[in-house]
Amino acid sequence: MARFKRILGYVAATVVTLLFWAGLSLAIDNPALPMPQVALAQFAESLPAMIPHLWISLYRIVVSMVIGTVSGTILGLFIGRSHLADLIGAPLLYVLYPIPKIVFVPVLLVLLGLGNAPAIALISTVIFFQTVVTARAAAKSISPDLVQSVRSLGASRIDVARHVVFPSALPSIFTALRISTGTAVAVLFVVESIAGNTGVGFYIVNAWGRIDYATMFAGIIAMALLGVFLYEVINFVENRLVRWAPKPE
Amino acid sequence: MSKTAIELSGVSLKYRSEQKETLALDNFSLEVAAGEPIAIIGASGCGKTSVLNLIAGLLKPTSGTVKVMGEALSGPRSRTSLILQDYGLLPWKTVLDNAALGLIIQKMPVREARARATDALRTVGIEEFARSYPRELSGGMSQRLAMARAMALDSDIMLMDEPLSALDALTREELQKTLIDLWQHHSYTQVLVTHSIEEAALLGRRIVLMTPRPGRIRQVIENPGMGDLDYRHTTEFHDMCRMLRELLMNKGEGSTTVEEVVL
Repeated sequence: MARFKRILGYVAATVVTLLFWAGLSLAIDNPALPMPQVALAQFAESLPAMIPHLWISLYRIVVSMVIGTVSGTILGLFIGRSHLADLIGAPLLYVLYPIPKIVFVPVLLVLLGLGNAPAIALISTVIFFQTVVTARAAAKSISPDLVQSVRSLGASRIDVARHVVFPSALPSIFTALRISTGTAVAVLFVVESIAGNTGVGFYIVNAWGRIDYATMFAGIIAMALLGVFLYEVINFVENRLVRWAPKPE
Repeated sequence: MSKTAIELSGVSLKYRSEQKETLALDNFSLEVAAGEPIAIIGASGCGKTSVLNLIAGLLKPTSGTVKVMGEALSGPRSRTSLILQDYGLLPWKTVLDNAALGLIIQKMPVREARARATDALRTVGIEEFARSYPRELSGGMSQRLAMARAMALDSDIMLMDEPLSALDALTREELQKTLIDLWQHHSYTQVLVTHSIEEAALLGRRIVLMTPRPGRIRQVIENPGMGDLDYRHTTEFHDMCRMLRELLMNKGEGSTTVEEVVL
């Protein structure tokens, strides 16, 4: 039943989006914003040609998410649990966190070339900061009584990390991951559109340069679907790993 | 002559925070025989919980010695269990895995740990909730689970910090029965910290009265009637409660009818 409701929700949201899009397209009446049926038809037609680009974009973003989340979680939990590490780590974190990482695109392109490396470096960094801040806060909010009670069972620091710190931080880490998905796709687009000739971002900008707006929109739809897909994958994994938490509706 | 399970001699404990130094315990000495159930009672802030944390090996005394089963304590000991008011359960583990936690930490194979935890859940009467998560349990059941964790470890020392004070009156009475029952069957050494007079009288064969800031022993009262499930309904029990209440209300020197403990 819950599953059915979810699917129904997705269908309704899609219908509303398409209607809004159609209305906007009619109102603006400019070839840069084609009608949805035109864009969707083009999407179906261009899909085979886009598949290699989609794979590359998916690869870049998934690798970055894994690198950023794993490193951010480990460091964030460590800083949150160690007084000394926090003394050094926390100020550093709060100086670096607000810097918009996207401004380093030109630097990274010069240093790392035009392949996967600059995209992965940048997206991992963005996700890393989001995760490290969240994980630190989660580690700090753990009840000392809970740690005490597990320690009284003879638990070592490793045991406490494994049985208490990590599982208790997991829901917040998933929330951070979900929030950073949108940012990650946006950063991916920027990097791919500026340099190189691979990825959905390149595909969109390339069509734009050819004034082929229908194909450009096929690319935009692909990028949107990429975001939705990642979001759903994160939800799926979270439901598997965090079965104990009450589900926020 | 039964052997001594817990021995605190001349223990003092200082807490340091910012610039202030607080003397939580001052020259505190106490011996508990193996299998003896004692209760420690006193106003909040009198250092009751510090005493438990010292015995649990979670705190080190500033001076004096703490011995458990004849050995000086260097850290938490595997067969000492600490049961807290807020149960100390991990929300992300099932009831069964919470009960098995102590064994898992001691590196017992998971299958064996779960089998022993299942037995412990049966002992405290919540085996049908083995696959639930703690948030699905009532307060009374949560505290039963905390006890099951200790039972699974085959603990010989049970330290309890206000274990029943978050529960409603009926549940509390049921758990008091369970505690007496468990103690009678497993004859572990028990140190119960409480601010409830009835609970101290019901669950302590000796009752230690503490004075606050710094925590000292004011009096130790023998309570030989303890251990019988029907003790609650006897006149001795009511007299004991009345005496404890008077002693606690009267901040000065206690009644002379009970044996004074000289510090």
